[in-house]
Amino acid sequence: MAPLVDRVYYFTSLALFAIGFHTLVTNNNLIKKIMGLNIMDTAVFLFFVATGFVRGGRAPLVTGPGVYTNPLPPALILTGIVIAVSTTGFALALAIRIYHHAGTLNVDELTRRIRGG
Amino acid sequence: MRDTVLDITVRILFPVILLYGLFVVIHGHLSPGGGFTGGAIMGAAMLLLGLAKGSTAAHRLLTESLSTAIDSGGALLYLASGLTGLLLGSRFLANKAAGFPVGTPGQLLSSGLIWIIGLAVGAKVLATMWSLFTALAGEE
Amino acid sequence: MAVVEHLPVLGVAGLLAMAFVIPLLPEGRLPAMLALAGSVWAALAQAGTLFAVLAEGTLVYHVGSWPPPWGIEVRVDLLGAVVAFVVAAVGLFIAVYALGSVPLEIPGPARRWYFCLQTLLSAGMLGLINSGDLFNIFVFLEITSLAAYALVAVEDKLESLEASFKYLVLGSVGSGLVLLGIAMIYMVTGHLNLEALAGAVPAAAEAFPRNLTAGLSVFVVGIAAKSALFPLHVWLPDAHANAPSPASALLSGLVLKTSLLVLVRVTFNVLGPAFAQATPLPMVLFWLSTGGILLGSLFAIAQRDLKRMLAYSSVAQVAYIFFGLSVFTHNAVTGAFLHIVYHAMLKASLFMAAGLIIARTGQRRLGALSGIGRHMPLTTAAFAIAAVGMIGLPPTGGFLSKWYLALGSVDAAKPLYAFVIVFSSLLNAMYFLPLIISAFFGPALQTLAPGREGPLTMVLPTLLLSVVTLLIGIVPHFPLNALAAAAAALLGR
Repeated sequence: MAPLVDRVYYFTSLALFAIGFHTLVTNNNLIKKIMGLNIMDTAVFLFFVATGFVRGGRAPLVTGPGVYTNPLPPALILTGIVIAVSTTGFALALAIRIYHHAGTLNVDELTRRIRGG
Repeated sequence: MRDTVLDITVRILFPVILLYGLFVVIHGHLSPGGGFTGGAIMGAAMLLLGLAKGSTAAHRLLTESLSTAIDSGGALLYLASGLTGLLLGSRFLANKAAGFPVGTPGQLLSSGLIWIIGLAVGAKVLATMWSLFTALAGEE
Repeated sequence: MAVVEHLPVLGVAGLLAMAFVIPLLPEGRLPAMLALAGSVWAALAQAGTLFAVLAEGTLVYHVGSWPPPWGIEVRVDLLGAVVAFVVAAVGLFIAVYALGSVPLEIPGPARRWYFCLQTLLSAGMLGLINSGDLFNIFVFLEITSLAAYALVAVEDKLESLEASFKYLVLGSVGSGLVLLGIAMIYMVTGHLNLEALAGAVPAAAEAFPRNLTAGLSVFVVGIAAKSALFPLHVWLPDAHANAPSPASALLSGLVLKTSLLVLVRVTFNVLGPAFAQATPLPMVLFWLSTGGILLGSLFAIAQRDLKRMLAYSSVAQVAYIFFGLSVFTHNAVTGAFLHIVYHAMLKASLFMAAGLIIARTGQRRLGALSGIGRHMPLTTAAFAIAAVGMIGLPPTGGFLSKWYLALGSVDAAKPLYAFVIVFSSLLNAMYFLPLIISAFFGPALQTLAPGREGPLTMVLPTLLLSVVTLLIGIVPHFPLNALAAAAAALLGR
């Protein structure tokens, strides 16, 4: 059990990634696809942050000797989250424009609309 | 439809949240938080205003062109402060190495360039959150 | 070295500054002019960097005077300097072309945003190439990608919006995987700086070989999605065919190449060829790129739309680069690097010529091109030169890169690989040659009003770029020697 518990964050992130990917691939709705993308991104962020986690470590504020967690991954992931937010914002804006033009968010419907002229 | 409770709550909360965001921005080098966090708090204040009073009222306060100006201004301030380090004979974004006064650690006016960069980032994040909000919810 | 060392940063900073000033400007000529000024500035800065790197070797610059591991490192090696210069120079040609093309293609209010995005895209690409650590490479990759998604959608038509969404979904999955790969490599090495990583990888490969292999495989899938390696190319034909023509030239010519450069950084600079060759990577890349080369060409033959045909041809041509990187011999890697440079120039001039033809005739169908050479001799000549280069006939640059790829395959004792190259060149000829012949000698199907071929700002860069491509194919010393040295250096570690 111990190796499983130690790596719980990695397994969680794997599960999240699978859920996100499944949402992305199986849904026909553009908004749900964006949600799937976000869940996948979250999985990656969790994985990256987990690499810096030290069991029993304190927050990395230098006040004295002791075990600290690695401050670099959270700092990097903050940037990653900003990127994900911008991508999501842009994707949602695209979905709004698509709805304006086509009146639908369904992928099959959209394909029909475009291929059918 | 106007709601008195919502109206008065927002009227009290909005300046407080905005001020708190500014506080987090300018104390970024001393305490947790900083340009991004503080900017997000300030942006949240604007979002609150936009949601509670309707985006038209909020747009009177922060017009689209002003928001674009803050957005670009923040980014340009960041670039400009990076360039000053270079012009002072050191490298891009150099802080202490370029001779900026670092001050006493723990004081509000310390850390040289970081302080200005925090302001730039805060302005940019505020404007970005607002333009995301208007792009997604602003259509009426 | 004193001033020169700032140039890579200054080039990117200048472009970023322009990208942030353009939204503040009123509509009119000014945004276009600033975008052009940014491109000129970046091209000059990268030219200076290239000269410095050719003369003195790798340029290392510590942002904020903080040395790594604390600070951010800008690191321009030989490969980076050449590719960055080509990206900046081709970007300059496209920026001039956009002056004439954007008013014809994009509705008024969106023009400013086109120029903003074009500048941001160039900043992202140059920043990516000049970065010396994996996380900054990721950040610039995302800046590039976001600008690219938005460029596809800038016309606000349903087809381009849908294409942009498709591009965004696959691109975001790709960037998520790239970040996951970076996380896995960081996890066992504790570094993000390319040099420090290279030092830490041997020990990590000893202790945790599986983590590194897993990281590499996730990373390769991510890059494959971003660079449209078969079978993850499905977004490319829609996105590149529905974007405005200068944007198609940027996306097909340059953006695909910069994400490929990230793959080179990880397989060669970080993990090293020895480690990468021990993984199944060469085999996987070989089969996928062979699939991409053959199917991309076959799909291109089947197209009836000019820009879609060029887009499918990009699928095939990008696969050549992956192909070269899968072989790990000096000649093949040189060929892959040469193909990065030549394809960037050739595909850009093809899309620029296609944009001119579409703007003049209002037709995108290939059938409508018959006899176009009489109405638009300069444009058709530029198209023909670039197309011949794409087929890979001597004395063009396209021949040179394919020659090196084939040589490299023979060096690796894999004649099957060389056969793929020769056979696919025949396929390339099958869709480009009939087009050129009918354009020059076919009956003119439409009567065009007499007049100029297009605005001078569009014709001139198109023609000039294809002539330059031809010239550096005939006298290939500049890219060839530098890239061969870069390949030797990367394979040697």
